[in-house]
Order: sequence, then structure tokens, then C-alpha cells
Amino acid sequence: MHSTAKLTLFLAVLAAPALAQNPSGKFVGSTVCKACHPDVWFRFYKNAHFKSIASEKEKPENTGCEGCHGPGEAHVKAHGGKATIRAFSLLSPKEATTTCLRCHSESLARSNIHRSVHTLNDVGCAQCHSIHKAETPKFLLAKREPELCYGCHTDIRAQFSMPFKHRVNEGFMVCSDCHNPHGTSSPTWRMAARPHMVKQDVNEEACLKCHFDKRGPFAFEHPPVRVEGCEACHSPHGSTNSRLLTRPVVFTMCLECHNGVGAFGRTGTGVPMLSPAHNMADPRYQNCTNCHMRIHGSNADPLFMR
Amino acid sequence: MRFTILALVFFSLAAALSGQVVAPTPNSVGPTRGDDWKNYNLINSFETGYRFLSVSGNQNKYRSDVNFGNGVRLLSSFIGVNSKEGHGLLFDEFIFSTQGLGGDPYESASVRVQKNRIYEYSLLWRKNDYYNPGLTTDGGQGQHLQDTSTTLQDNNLTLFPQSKVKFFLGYSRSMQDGAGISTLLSPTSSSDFVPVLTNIRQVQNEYRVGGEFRFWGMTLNWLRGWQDFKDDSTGQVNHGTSPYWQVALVRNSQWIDINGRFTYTAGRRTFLTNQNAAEAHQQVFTFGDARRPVATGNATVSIFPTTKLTIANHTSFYNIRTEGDSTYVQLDNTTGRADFLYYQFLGIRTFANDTDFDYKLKNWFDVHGGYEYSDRRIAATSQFLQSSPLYSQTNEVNAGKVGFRARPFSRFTVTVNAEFGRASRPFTPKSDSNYNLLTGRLDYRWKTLQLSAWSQANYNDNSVLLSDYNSHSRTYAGSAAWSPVKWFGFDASYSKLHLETLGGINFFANNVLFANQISYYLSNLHVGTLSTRFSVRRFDFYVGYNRVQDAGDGRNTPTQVVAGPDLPAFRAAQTFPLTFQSPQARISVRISERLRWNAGYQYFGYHEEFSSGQNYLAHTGYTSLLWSF
Repeated sequence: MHSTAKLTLFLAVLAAPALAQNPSGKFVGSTVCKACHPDVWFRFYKNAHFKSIASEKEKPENTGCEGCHGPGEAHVKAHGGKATIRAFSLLSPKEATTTCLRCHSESLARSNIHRSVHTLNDVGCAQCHSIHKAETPKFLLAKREPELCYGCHTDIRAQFSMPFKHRVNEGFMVCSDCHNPHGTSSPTWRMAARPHMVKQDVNEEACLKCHFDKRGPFAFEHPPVRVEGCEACHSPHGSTNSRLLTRPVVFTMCLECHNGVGAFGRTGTGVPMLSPAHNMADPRYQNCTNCHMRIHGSNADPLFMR
Repeated sequence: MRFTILALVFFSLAAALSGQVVAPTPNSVGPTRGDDWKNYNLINSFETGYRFLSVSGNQNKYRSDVNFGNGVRLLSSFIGVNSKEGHGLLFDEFIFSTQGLGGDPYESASVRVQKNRIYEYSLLWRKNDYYNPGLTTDGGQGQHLQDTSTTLQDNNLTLFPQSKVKFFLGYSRSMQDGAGISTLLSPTSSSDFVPVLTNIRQVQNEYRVGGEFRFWGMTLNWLRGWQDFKDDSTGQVNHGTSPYWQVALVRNSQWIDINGRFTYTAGRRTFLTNQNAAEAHQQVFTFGDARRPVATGNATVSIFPTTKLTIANHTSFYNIRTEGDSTYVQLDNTTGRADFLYYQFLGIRTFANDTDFDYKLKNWFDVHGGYEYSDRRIAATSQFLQSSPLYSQTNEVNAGKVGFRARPFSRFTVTVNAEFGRASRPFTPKSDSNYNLLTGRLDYRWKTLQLSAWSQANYNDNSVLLSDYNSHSRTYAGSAAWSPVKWFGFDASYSKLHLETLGGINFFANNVLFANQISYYLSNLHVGTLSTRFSVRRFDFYVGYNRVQDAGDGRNTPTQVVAGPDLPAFRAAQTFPLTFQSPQARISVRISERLRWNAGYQYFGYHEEFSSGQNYLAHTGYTSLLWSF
């Protein structure tokens, strides 16, 4: 190899990161890319990004291969190579996200992406989405839900393996029914801090979209339902306890709040404790929701019995 | 070559669905690129077969947990039609898929149709058969018996999806229908009740209309919706509507993103219940017009001063009031006396602000952190009286977050996050008070090998004078995935979920007050999943195993004293050891390019250590043909 060629190659390698992020040169059009990347091109009409090509109205920097990979002139002249084009395999998660957000930032669903836990932990778009090898035509996910999410959230996989669970593994629902992986506004329950990434049904907890009968308003509200949300008593992913409760036996769960102690509760005088009529030695009184059946709220009874 | 392609498709799908139920089969049939028809390309597959089931033990518990039955099913289907040039006459993409039709407890169907630049339409329909035999895991008294089906339907239409002016139309319908247990006033007393069977029928219809406009680099998004609710279950009439507005403005630029969102819902319900305690000459009826207006406001500002630094600030406001002029009337038919009770007012107002930053110190090391402040005021009345005094309280939370992410060498990543929060006045003894959250993650990825380990400790300490509540949860998880060759893959995970809580309780037993007692609960859950798939010529095999085991606290009998009140019921509630396991195996044989035969078996075993009443063993399986025309 001539020394000039070696020098050129050396400089190209040195410049690779910069070129990869901001490839220079002119736009050559997607049909040129077809010559060397036929596998990608011949499937691309099934890709959501093909819309920009079909419209024939977008500017070169916003359409086709070069819309994401940058101008291809240098890449063509060099007969390929990742150093001469914006190759996503060389981009950091943040750089990849910035590239995608050029077009995808306008959506309300992604308006909190910069403060989402995923972004803060360097989980970028390309970790979950695969543009050319997507398994789902919608959202172009690299794997199907929930397996995509289980890849990192092993503990959540464990929770959905429990005997009581939301039917995610059965294919009835997916993680994104309740979560927005791109970040959400602060929750309107608890203290607006946690949980992260849980969607809202307009402005209330996402659970109410399906469990709409719990929404109310009720004449007699059970305050923790509104103040602390469903997680005050339920483990939403899965549990070994019936009804996804946080305790296997319901009375222990109720008594831990209804102990009359401290400055807790609606009026700051403690959550009311049971009356002496409740004989906790008698099994009849150990199943609280046997009588307090409308525990989420009632229109007929202040003690949620009817 | 064909074998290689099919094997690749098989393994990618098998990997995608490991840990799921055994059917439908995740394989695909037909040519990978589909069939061309005029200017369209068509891909389709249908899996039809028979599910079988054999249960011994508690069949009701099986129906509650798993619920797959016997019968012929359209286990899954998929039709995808794409225009090859993006200029189809009526549509450019049509996708239709189903799962479990014909009697599975979890059925779904989805449709997606779109024509570039003109419209996008999607429909998702789901039906879930819900069965609750009145379980409480200690052997309940039969409350909450339910045998219902829930149907959910979402329709969304977007007009001019690629334009600067878009319009949205949507319709959703949710319905719960079936038999369930409820309560009515006892005939003999106005303060007692009797359980009755009712026909549960609750429906919610939601209508949406909205639009989006892009101008001057900004996007204005608005949505108007109506959620109409109807509960005509036996014994009550409860109708209402929750009309809402959502308006959002999004502005993005190279160094700053700004967006705001405002919502308002005017929830309203009218209800009437009328119950008779005939023998006690009492009539109780409630009627009214309940209102729950909810308003939220959110604003996010993200700044990017340099390519290495991101700062995001989020402010949120939330206000909700539950109020109304409903009336509770207890009529004594002998005297004609009526007592009127008015609404218990409950208002919640929360203001929160948090700031997060992320800074890349080195290419291999970045730090992030944040601070959050939230202030929540709760106002409530304590009496059901019109002139009841209003009580209010305020809780403030200050929380700090810090973390880093490092890649000390190629393919290996370490992430550590910590959050510390302090609340001034938690709402319940179990609410977050003094909490510390520590999370760590290790990831190693090399070619087709992926190893990860994760740990989280979440401690909440909420102590008051007479009572303590402490919750310690620790989670450890690890996973490994390896596909060294195309015809073999391996996937394993293990999690330990440890939860230990100590709560102060007061209660009565036999008219004696047991004060300053302790409720102790310990759960040590071990969850493991293991799966492997391999292929030999035309045969594809999948074997998997899931196991959930709560090891309890080591006691031999449920009432053995560990800590807490000396009442058998309390001792037995301190731990709940059980095992739930599910091995499965599947074979799929490629008969031709367009036809596969599949068979699978999945076993479910549920075993409680201290009681056998709810234990069961279930053998489920299926055989099916997967075909493409």
C-alpha cells in the first residue's frame, strides 16, 4: 500500500467518530443505497419510515436512508465503511436519541424523554427499537413486549410469574399499556415523585382505564385510594397473594393503617381503629372485605359495606 | 439456505417469547418476504388447534390463576398487506392479528390500516374472562365471588398523520358483565346487610376528538373527551360522565426543549340506591349528584448547554376535589323521621418540582442526579354534616437523587443510583416517610452472550410515638442469555424478592384491647426461569421451566410464634410459604414451507405449605397446525 493511501486510511480512522456523527458531503438519494444494501431496501416499504419516501415531498435530510444516516456522498465514494456515514452502531445512546428526536420530538408522548429514567440511565432509542430488523411493524421494537422489557427488568419478569398477576405473559396486555417508556409527567397520586413512567388516564392513575368502576366519584371515598393510589394495597405486576394484595391475609394489611395512631389519616388524628365489636379472635372479623365489600368507595354506606 | 433462514426466524421468535404460555406457537410459516399481488405484498399465517386440560385439586383456584380450558381454538392469526410503492388506492398498510379466539380466557384482535398522508386507523379489541372463587389465601369466606368477562375496545383514527395539521378521533368501550356477589341491607336491621348475588353490568364509553397543529417550530395538541359511565348492576343505578380537556404545547430546539400540558376533567355521577330493612321498618336511600373536578398542569424545560450536559426541570400541579350535594336518608317508616347526611369533602392539592441533570465526564463515565420537592395539601371534613368543619394538613417531601454509569472496559457497564426522601407528614403509617432507595446494575454483553445482575434495596421507616412501621425490601436478580449458534439458544434468570415489614397495630379481641402490638410479615420469594431451544433438521424444540417459591421464615407450623400478637390468626399471617411451578415443552415440525405441525405441554402446580385446600395440579397442552395460504 502506498504511503499516501496509508495516511488517508489513518486519517479516516482518526476522524471516524466525528464523521459518524456529522457526515459531510451531498445527499445522493436512497436509490443509490439500494445498489449495496438490497436486503434493507427491498424490505423497506414495510417500514414506517418508508412514508417519508413515498410522500416525495420531504427534503433530502428528512427522508429515506440519509434522513437518519446523513448525506451519503462520502460513503459512496469510499465504497462503504462506517466511518463515512452516520452509523448507529458507533453512536452513543445519547447521540442516537438526539438523531431520532430530530423528527420524533414533537410528540406529546415523548415530551418528557430527557428526564425519563431510561434516558438518565443511558438507555437510548436503539436499545429498544430496531429500524431494520424490527419484530413488530408498529413501533419497530427490537423484540416483542414483554420480552423486550424483561431483558433488563428481570425482577419484573419474576413478578409476572406469580400465581396472581396481570395477564402480560398470556398476551392479553403489554407493559406499554400502563407504562410510557419515554417518560411521563409526575404522577397525580402519592407525592408526585414515584412511581416513574406510569401512564395516566388523562389525569388519574392508569389502572382506572380498565378498572373504570373504581374511578368514582363516590359519596363515601376511601381516602387512600385517591391519595396514595392503588399501590397502597396492591402489587400491580404480580403477587403470591389473592387480588394482588400486598399481604396474604387481608386483615393484617388493613390493621397496619387502621391502628388509630399518630397524625395520620383524613383528619390527622390517626386512621380510625376498629371498634370493640370487631373481635379479631373470631374468623368472621378477619376477612375485612367480607363486610366492607365496597372498599374502593361506596354511594350507600360510609363504612363501605354496601 | 432456506433452513438457515427458517432457523433464524424460529430462534428469534422463540427468544422473544420465552417464559410465556406454551401456545400459541411463536414460529412463522410462509416465505419470509411474503407473496406479491399487484402492487401489494401479503404475509399471512393461521394457527388452529385443540387445547386440552386436566386438573386435579382445587379447580376454582386453577381457574383463578391460569384458566385455559379444553376446545378448538384459532390460537393465532396474522395478515399483513403492504403496498410496495406507498401509493395504494385505499390503503398502504393493513395488519390484522388475533390471539386465542374461540374460547381462550384471553382473547384479542387488532387491526391497523393506513394510507400514507391521509389516515391511520387502529383497533384493539380484548376480552378477559375473570374468575374469582372468593379467594383469600388463608381460605376465605367466599367473598368477592365473581365470574365475569371484561371487554375492552380502543378505536383511534388520525387524519392527515404526516401533515402539519392533524385530527384525531377515538372511541373506547369497556364493559364488565357477569355474575358476582354483592350486599344489600338486611331485612331485619338498617345497620346490617346480607350478601346477595347480582348481575354485574358496568359500561364505560369514551369519545375523543382532537387535533394537532405545528406552527413557528411549536406543536399545539388538544384533545376533548367524554367518558360516560353506567352501572346498572342489581341494587343500584349509577350513571355519570367525565368530560375532559387536554391541551399541550411542545417546543423543541437545538439547546432547549419546552413543553407544557394542561388537563381538566369535570367528573360527575348521579346515583340512586334504595334499600329496605322491611322487618325493621327502615328504608335507606342515597341519591345525589357527585362531582369530582380534577385539574393538572405540567411544564418541562430541558436545557442542553453542551453536548455533554442535560438539565431538565419539571413542574407539576394537581388539584382534585370530591364534593357533591348527595343525600343519605334513613327513613323510619313508623315515625317518618329522616336523617340527612352530606358529603364528606376530600380535596387534594399537590405541587411538585424536580430538577435532573446528566453530565458525561468521560466517554466511559457519566453522572446524574437530581432534587425533588413536593408539597401536598389534603383538606377533608370528618362528619357527614353540611356545616362540618374543614380539616387540612400538608405533607412536604424533599428527595435527592444521585447516580453514575460507567463502562470501565468494553462490553461491561456498571450503573448505580440512590434516592433519599424525607416526608414531613405521611398520610398513612405505610406511606413513604424516611425512605432510602439504592439500585445497582451490572451488564456484560459480548456477541450473543448477555449477562446482567441487578440489585435494589428499598427501606422505608415511618415511626411515630405509639407505633412503628418499617418496610425493608431487597431484590436481587440475575439473568443470562446465550445463542452461540443459530440452532441453539439458552435463557435463564433468577430473582430473590425479600420483603420484611413491621407494623404497629391496635385491635380488640373478646372485648379486650390489644394495644401497641406488632404485625410482622416476611416474604422470601425465589423466582427462577430457564429455557432452551434447539433445532434438528425440520424439528424445532423448546423446553422451559418457571418456579416461584416463597420460602417463608423457616417455621414448621403456621401458628409457630415468631413475633407479634399471641393470637393464632396473627401468627399464621406472618408468612405464607408456597410453591408455584410451571414446566413446559413444545415441538414444532416443518412439514412444508407453508405448513407446520406443533404440539406442546405445560404443567401448573400450586402448593401451599400450611394448607392444602387451594392446591392443584394442572396438565395443559395443545396440538395445532400453523399454515399460510
